[in-house]
Amino acid sequence: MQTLTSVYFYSSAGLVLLIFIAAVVHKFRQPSDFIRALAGYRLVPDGALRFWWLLPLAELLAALELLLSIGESRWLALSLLLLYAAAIAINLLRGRHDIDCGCGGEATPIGWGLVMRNVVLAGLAVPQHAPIGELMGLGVALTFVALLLGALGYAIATQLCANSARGGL
Amino acid sequence: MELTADLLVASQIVLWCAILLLAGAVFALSRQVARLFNRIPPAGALSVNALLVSGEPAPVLELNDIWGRATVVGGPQSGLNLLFFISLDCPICKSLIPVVQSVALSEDAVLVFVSDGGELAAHRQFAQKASLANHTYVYSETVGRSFAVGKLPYAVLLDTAGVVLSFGIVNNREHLESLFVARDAGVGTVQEYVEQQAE
Repeated sequence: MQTLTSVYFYSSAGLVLLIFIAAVVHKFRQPSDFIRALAGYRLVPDGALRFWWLLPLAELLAALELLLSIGESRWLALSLLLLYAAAIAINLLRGRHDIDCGCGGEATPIGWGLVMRNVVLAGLAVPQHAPIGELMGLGVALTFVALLLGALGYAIATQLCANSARGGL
Repeated sequence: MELTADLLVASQIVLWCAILLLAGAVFALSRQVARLFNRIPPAGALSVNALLVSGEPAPVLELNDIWGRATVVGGPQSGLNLLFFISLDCPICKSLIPVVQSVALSEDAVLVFVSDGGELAAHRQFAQKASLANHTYVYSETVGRSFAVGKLPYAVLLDTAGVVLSFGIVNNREHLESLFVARDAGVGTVQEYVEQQAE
């Protein structure tokens, strides 16, 4: 069990870290897309939209928190993921299914799939204590494999969500 | 020894997760593919319509076009009539305009644009910019509703007596041409043709 705990600890930290870094990069690379999506959520007063950069800043801080605590402290990441899930859920309950999620990548209308994806990610972002033992050799390799699988799973879930909005599942 | 067994168990569990993940993804994908196949048969205009039936007369509506000239949509015409339903908000519609003009020309059909939404002035501006002055352009929500047009771009092909030949959602030249092919094959829609072939 100890290896499994270690593998989970580091690969989940790595996955959350990667996703947040990608999110920050996307928002600063294409700010107009993000601002438009943010406005679409109708949860932020128009006057406050000029503080859009606070969100990617928070994501950056979440990534830093993860890094500097070597994977133990994940509070910011957890909070942001739940915040985004709530924002999407609120708009879905409002009946607004056509707005772009603003997640980056392909234009993806919001849906419950995205809420679930974020909740699962939030589960990975629950802060934990670093495992005691050392990962060695194959254990490290296994961690990377788990990380890769996680990234793949994230990409699959996101693409399926994007597809379903165009008439799929 | 103990360490190795521990590693093996962890490796197994990661593999199970990977398999479950992939199996789930494949399942979801196969469902999406099934839905796609049901909705879009090979290369034909997607013919969903609550009112129109191929072989029956189309609704006849007398109204003025955007230039104020009296015109009749439906009913007897001098030639094949291709009704092309667009809207100013629909980017695919606009990109299809040269295509639909070309198809109408090569199939020797009279092209009629039907649009709605927004201001009449905006449509006039658009028709001028898109060089549509040679075609009838009608601004009317009623026509769209009478023909039960839901999604855009939509096209309806009528014969010289005003009878509905074929219709459907069109996204490209192949879809538009399929309307005429359907007419040639004596079926209202390519879906019908595919079904007939399967019998």
